[in-house]
Amino acid sequence: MIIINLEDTYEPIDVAEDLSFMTFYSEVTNSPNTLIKIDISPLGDLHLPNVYNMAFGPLINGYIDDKAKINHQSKDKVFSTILLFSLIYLQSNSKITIGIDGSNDIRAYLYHRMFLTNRTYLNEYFVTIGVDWYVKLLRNGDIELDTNRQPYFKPKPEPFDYLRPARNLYRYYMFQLTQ
Amino acid sequence: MKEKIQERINKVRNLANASVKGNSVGTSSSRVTDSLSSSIRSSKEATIFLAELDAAIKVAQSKKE
Repeated sequence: MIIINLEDTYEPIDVAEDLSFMTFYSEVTNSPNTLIKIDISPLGDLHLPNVYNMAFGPLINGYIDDKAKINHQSKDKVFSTILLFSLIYLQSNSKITIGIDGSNDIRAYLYHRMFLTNRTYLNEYFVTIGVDWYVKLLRNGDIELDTNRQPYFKPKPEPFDYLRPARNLYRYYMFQLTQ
Repeated sequence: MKEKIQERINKVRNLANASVKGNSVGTSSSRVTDSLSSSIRSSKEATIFLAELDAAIKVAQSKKE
């Protein structure tokens, strides 16, 4: 279980002038402290100019390794730091929605549990959306296919369903500033 | 906003203001591709998705009120 407390976060080490990234040291069990970078970048889609991706993890050759497995001493403090930085970013860019990719099951489970467990606390700051992918059932009983004859999946957002079992993860999570 | 949270926010903002462009750890932000961006194949799909996102946000906001 991850408990978010925006009053208990790691000290920032380096912050971009435009707030596009921040670094901090996470205490790691049986290892030296690890420098973690949080990066908020525009999606590679010109049609979604106000949707930004958030990635975080240790730096490997200057790039974020967002699949790294790190034995953080306090996941609570790591995620609280990440969400505090997201809050700051969104305060400066209020029209933006931040997306986090849940394509990795372990991370998706973490995000899902984090939003679920901290519902009341996070609702004060963020509106949370879950995204599932669906394929259309045609009237003739077939499913819609793309030009490669593969199922034509489309993303569909919905307000985060807090009654949905944690095993039924969303594939993508989004949040923006509470209005 | 709680005072202690505001203090932490101010600390990050002050560090950002003191930051020198191009003199920070790592590369600057660039466009990324994730499972959402790779699923939006046209402006029509993007328009539909953004309308649905807007509606979902409005519903989520109204549930909180």
